[in-house]
Amino acid sequence: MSVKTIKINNKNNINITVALAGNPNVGKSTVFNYLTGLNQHTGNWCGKTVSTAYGQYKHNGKIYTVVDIPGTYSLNATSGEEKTACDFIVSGCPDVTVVIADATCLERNLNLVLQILEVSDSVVLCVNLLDEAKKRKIHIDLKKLSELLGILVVGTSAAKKSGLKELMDAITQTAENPGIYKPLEIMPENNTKNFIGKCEEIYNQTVVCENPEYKAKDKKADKILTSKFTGILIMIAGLFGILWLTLVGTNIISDFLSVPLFGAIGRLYSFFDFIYAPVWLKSLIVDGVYKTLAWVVSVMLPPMAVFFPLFTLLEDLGYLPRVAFNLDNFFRKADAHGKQALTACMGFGCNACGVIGCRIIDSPRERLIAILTNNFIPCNGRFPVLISVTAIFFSHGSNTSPGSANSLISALFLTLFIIFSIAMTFVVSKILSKTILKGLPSSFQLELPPFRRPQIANIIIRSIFDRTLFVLGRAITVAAPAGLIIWIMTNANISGANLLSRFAEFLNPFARLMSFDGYILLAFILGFPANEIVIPIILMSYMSAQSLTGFENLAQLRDILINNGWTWVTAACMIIFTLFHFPCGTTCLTIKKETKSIKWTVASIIIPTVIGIILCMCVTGIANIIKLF
Amino acid sequence: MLLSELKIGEKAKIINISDISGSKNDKSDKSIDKQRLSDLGIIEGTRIETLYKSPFGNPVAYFIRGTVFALRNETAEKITVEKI
Repeated sequence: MSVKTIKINNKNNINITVALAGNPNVGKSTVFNYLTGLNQHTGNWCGKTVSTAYGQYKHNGKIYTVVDIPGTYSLNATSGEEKTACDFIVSGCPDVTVVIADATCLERNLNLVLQILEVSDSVVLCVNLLDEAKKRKIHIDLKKLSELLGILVVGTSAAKKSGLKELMDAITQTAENPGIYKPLEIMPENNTKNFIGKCEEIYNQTVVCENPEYKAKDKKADKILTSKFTGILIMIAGLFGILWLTLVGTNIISDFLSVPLFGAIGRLYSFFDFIYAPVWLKSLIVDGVYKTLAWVVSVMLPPMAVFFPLFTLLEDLGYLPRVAFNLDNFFRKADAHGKQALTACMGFGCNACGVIGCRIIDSPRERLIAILTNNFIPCNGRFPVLISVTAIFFSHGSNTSPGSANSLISALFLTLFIIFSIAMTFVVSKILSKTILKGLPSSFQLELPPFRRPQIANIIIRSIFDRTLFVLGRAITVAAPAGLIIWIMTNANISGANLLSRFAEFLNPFARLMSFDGYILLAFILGFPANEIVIPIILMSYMSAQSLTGFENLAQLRDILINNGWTWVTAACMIIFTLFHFPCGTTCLTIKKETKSIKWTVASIIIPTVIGIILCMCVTGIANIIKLF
Repeated sequence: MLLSELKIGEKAKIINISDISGSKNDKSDKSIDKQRLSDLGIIEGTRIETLYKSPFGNPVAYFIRGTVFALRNETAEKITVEKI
């Protein structure tokens, strides 16, 4: 929501705007979720709030619009995300600003509280994670804190839904009585040192910490997760585990989905016969649009439905910052930013989202590197291609049922492919830093938040609604017109051959150099709007002579591909080009929006495509040399 | 001594933070980085404890005012501390 709309709402006097501010990792989003329930709009599923989310709730007959602004350590904005936070509070739009603070490290959090008190009078402090603090024997005198700060202070444990009603009451009270709270004034000379001194003073008066050491349990876990041997091993094992579960789960859900989806084709045919629809219309709707849609759903949905919840679980646990910590050495050597590991992780879900996530990097040079290389991480739209091609050609069998050796081999290959793509990210980042984006790495600080118990129900809801359905919806809106276009291309004849094969023939000589045929290359080009439709297009092209019955199992897919001349070299090149080619349409648009530059958008298209073509050609060349002997 | 020289498990008090420059060409970065550290509560007088190293020795995790932060050695070299 833009700032403008909020102002308009204010004029009507029925809507009260509440801004949620706070340091990162204080459970701000949890408070937001419980305040607004499902009555919210979040353009945000990166695990970190990078763009402003808003939602509403009703309390005592009034409507409150809650704006969740990105986490920030201070109002001295340096990075894009923090600037958003700063602008929103300083411009004076919110009626009430709620600052959420982490009870377990209140001292650091107080810095932001004091800064916000400087610019706004209507402030409520919400001390969250009180349960966590109690466990660590940290006692906070909320009443004293309220007296010292001159504002209402509420203690909450948002994950346990406790204290939220009191928070709502405090917000109402502050909103309805503007000016009655006289927040504390700091000294005339407002530099950071004064603020931190004041924080220390307030902290010492209000908090008693029986054991000021770092939590022993977290320390132990961190030592294991970040040590030289186990740290790296656990990371790779975790990647392997997630991929294996995705593979196995995909198989189960796929079986479950494909039968009804493709079973409906017969009924659709009879329906069109029943209404005496012309044959071309029947074929256009059923063979063109519906079958492509059914393909996309049955191929796309299963890996997402497994992968997204698993990934969200890791996020909630707080494991991702540890990954960034472990991998920072490589990013530093590539003269890149350590937080690039986090944005790359987001890329596994969706590259467009990863590109937006790059706002967490403040240095413009390093942010561009992160944006340009995000596409090297295969997003969920590309997973189905990787999974099916690997299962067919690299594990010598199409049986990926749970526990079978094949599923383990497939997962192993997938892990290797992903490690390869991560290695490529380092190489390209380094090359960029040495050529067009010259510079030294900036200093960076990465918070390693305490481990939190994940909220399983929340994870499932969030990953299904916010992520899976969002991505699937986008894929479907792209797949339907794409199905239409392909149907027209296969049915429009130009001097004896259809349009699709004409194009494919044209591309064929070049495609051969990459061990492809024209159809595969054409599928990648037509798949520009969304990578998910690459495999469906290839199959539709191959099957245009016959009727495409459906995706019953991988064995069938294997037969189709092998009958059309696929070898393991084709498969290897297919995987390479899936990993390294131009970003999808949505990602390109996002890059354009984030960089505000056509030049960098074009660069983000050219760099991976050239790398992909060169690698495929090398593989083809090597395979040809091997054949000579 | 420098913060980067502090061994795992050792505690210290920050005495001085010199200008931290990310890129030598870009002078504007200097003050911003010092500002960033102070936003996190890392200023002269702050107590700091070295917790553990990352797998390749850089960055290192520190315990500062109740929170764990990872700093690269390049940053830690600019911070002078006094062991306590």
